[in-house]
Amino acid sequence: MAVADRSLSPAYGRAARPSLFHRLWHQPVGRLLILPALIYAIIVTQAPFLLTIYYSFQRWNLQRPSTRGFAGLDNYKFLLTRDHAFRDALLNTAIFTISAVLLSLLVGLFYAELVNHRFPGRGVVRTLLITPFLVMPAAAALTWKNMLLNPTYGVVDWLTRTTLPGNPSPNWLGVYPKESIILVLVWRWAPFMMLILLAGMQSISEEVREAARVDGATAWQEFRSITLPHLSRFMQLGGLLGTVYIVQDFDPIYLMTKGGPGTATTNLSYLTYRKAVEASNVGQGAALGVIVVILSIIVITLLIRWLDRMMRGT
Amino acid sequence: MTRRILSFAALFALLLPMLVVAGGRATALAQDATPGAAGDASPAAAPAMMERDETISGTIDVGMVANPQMVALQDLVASGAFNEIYPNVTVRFTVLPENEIRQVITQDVTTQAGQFDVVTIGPFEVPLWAEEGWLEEVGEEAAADPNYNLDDIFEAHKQGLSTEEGLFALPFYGESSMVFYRKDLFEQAGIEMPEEPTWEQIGEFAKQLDSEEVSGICLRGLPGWGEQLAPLTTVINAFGGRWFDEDWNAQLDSEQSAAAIRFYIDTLREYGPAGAEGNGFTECETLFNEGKVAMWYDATSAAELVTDPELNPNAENVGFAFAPTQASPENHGNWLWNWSFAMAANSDQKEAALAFMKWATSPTYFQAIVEAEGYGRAPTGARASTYQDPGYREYAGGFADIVLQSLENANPNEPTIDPVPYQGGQFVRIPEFQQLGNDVSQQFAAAIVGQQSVDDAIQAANDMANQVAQDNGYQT
Amino acid sequence: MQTTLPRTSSAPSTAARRWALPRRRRGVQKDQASPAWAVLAWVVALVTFFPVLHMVLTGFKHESDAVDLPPRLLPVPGIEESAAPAEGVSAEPAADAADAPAEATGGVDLRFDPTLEQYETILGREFMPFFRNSAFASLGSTALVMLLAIPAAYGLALRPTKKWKDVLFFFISTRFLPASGVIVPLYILFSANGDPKLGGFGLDLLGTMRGLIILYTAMNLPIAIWMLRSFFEEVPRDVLDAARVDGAGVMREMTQILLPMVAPGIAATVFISIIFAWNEFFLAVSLAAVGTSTVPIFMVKFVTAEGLFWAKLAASSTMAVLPIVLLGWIAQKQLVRGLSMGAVK
Repeated sequence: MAVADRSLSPAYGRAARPSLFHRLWHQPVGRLLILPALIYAIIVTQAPFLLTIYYSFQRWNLQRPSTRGFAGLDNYKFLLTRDHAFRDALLNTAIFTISAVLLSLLVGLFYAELVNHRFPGRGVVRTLLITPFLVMPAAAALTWKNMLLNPTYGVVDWLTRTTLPGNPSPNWLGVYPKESIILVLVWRWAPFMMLILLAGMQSISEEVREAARVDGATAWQEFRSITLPHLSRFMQLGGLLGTVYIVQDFDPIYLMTKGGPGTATTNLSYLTYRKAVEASNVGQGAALGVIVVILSIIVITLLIRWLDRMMRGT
Repeated sequence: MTRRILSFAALFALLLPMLVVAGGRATALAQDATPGAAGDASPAAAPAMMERDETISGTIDVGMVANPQMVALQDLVASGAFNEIYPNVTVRFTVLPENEIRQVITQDVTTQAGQFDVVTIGPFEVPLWAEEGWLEEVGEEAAADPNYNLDDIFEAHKQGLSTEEGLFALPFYGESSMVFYRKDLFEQAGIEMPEEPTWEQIGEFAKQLDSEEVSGICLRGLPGWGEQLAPLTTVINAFGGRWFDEDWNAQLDSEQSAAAIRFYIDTLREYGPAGAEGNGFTECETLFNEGKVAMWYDATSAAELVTDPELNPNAENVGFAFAPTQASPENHGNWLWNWSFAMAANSDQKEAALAFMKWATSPTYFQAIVEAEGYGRAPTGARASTYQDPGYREYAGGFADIVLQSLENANPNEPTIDPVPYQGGQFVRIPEFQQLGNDVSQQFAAAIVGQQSVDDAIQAANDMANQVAQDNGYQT
Repeated sequence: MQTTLPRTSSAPSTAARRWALPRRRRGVQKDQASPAWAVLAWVVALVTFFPVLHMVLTGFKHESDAVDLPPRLLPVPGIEESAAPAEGVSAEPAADAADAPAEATGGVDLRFDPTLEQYETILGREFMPFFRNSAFASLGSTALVMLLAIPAAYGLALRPTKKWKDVLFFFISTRFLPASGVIVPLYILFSANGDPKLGGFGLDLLGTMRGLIILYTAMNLPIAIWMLRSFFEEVPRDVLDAARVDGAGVMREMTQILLPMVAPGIAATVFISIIFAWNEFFLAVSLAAVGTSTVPIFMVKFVTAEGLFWAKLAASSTMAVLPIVLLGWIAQKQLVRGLSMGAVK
């Protein structure tokens, strides 16, 4: 299978040849069914994207329209060679994405295993566990910032201050900003992974489990040798979807740390916001957006290929 | 099955209070309906100053920052006070916190999308935007209206909102800066706050007052050109420092500027509350009102908030002092800000927009809001007459004179001791300052947390400032 | 239908059987976990849920109780006499309560007097228009998503072209551009005037429900197609072939045979789409705040310069998240099934 690298380009709209109608008429029915969604996605997402590409070659600060003009590759050059914030943001995005996706998978697996056994109130436990995924990220971010991690009024801070030896009272968002953001990301996405993995667990045939148990397998052995292998595809799906969403994550950073202190929690999404919106620098913001798209395509393509190879291996 | 019952029980436990609220809401609505009659009565005094005008009609969109004074304005308009005078004008508000509304307004005005007829902006944006032709001149009409009394508005505000072409916005409320402190804590420590302290003294007091339960002083550490850099820039001014010299060479690493920045960050690190890098105006206000800090240096508009017994249990113990000086007894930092109503040049409802702007910034409105909500929600700091109002003087006895003098003395046109090529007391009025300020303040925040040394932060900030000056053609 | 299910390759059949024979799985007795397991599960669940619980409870507190540590977790009506100060009581006890954490070593009081004052304030600020806008935007975009995604997913499942994976990847790739990067171009495109340098072409969609629905549809289309395609792939080939041999048209094939089989998957996709649309913050603030404000905008309004009012913020947050949390709780089984389908093939 080949994941083409030209996928993003509007090449799919290339059907626009003279024989368009004729060609359409003789398409297999499957292709016709795809067309409406494809056309919609191309128009709604690629039109603004083309505009973004155009602006990325412009020197344009919204507040200074008089200096607007063609900038060539200046915006890209600046970002790639001179902008420290860009390098930091690239690194932070990688840190956030990798650690949040892996930890979410791990914690989600733990959640799923917890509720995959029978015990009183199992339904309620599952309900409580999925809730963080349902809560609006903006609301969750404000709650975490003000009521949990706040160094004066936060419950987490109070807990460590009163229960841990040495009464540490770290200013979470200031001293451990990356960890705090990852914590909030994992809190939100682990339930999502749980949802995916739970169905995977439930699709394991009971007979197999039963047989293992009759053979005297411990719970751990059963988990290792039956559950885990069965779940690998589900984990791959979770990892892929999680990556697509977490790479873009914006709300918690915007509402909790504003990308700081310094650039400690500035990811690419937030840096783009700072350039394009806060600083009104349309050109640089657009160039950054284009770079993010290119990087995402490369990374996700590699990820899919890698997963594909793994899947064929099993 | 039990599972299902349990989940529903949990669900209902959460829902029940909501249902009760919904019930309570119905009665609340019913109550709302009755004061309508009272609402009709209250602005009765108003027409004495502003006359009813049925000839102006239209629907205007107003974008406002969600500060308490604006929310009060929104409530008063909703109660019908505005339509008493302009029955044929409909006002639609978009009220958002500062960050969000700034984004929306900036995009709307700079791209000329034309969603808003009237917006709240300040002296940072008004002259820049007026020169681009995005704002409508309003001074001429305001001056022509004897009921409006344009002369009453502080000269410094008008200057900050003007270009050579005229006046482009009408100030709703204004502020300079001052120190708030807890008199009881000072007494306990056996120290006294002079009326005009120096920063050195403030640092000393902070050291003496700092304890386990109460931090010495709250200063804004939250990154942002309008947050951390507002007080910090006035400290730099007071220390005799500046952002740029006359040739636009960055001066943040000059002796005076660096001393000011070092003082600001070190004081916060040593005597400030935990998490100082996350504290902006709102957070500091909360900390001060909760009794967690002994001093607070910030905008004068906080005075009404820290003296409100409903917000601050220690309201009667709050003392006030002028914004500190350092290098010269004359330079208090020159903080001057106002939230003003400006009209978009591409508005197609100019008459109605002007009617609203004038009403909201008029003595008529001041009187109406005082009657409806009291002095705590009234817009102050824009008009001299506010400080002659006997009711307000009684309400604001502790701070009215300090605020008045600070407003009269603030000079954002010459904010620093050494000459500078820019204007602005707590900001540098160039379009690039928003980005520069945000980047620089992030560096300082990292220093407050201890991620990097103060000197490294100062160096990085200075380099950024030079970069901006070079890239944008300021340095020749 | 079940009887005709052929044994196809490996994994898919189990999933297919799960829809066909839902009773069976339930009938199988799972192992009863030990009490220790149950305790562990409950502890983990409560810790995970605590932020939400804390938020909900805080919304029912007086402001003075809201900032107390340890957090007051037990609503006890009518205790204002003893510990918690209520509104109307003079400011003095409020000051004591604020000092409480310092003296927490003495008797710890976890009780608070529940109040509805925050909700009254909030609902006094016209919550319904925001709620209505959010509901329209979520449901409207979801309807459009399904209208586009169901045929597309079905088409993809038929694998009409060798490049079907590329098409799928294209849909996913439309999500790669960060919203913050495209926001200014979108704003310009959505404004009435557009960019004068590009001929001034604008769509005049700022602040409109249409604009929001169009964007949310584009936002959720990729994941919807992704999920739905997996569901259609689950349907055994023979069933499709049989339908075609019968001379059934594409429409009949879809509506009468396929849709009932993939109904749980469609339900899950609908829920996911609604959840993401309801919770979306940045586009709503940037493009629709004037005229079509949604619930997240209502919520951030309570982060004002007036002071940090935790209780009010908590109450407005609770209002904002409640509809979706309830929906998610009710639909959790569909979600469990729906989300995992993509893993099967």
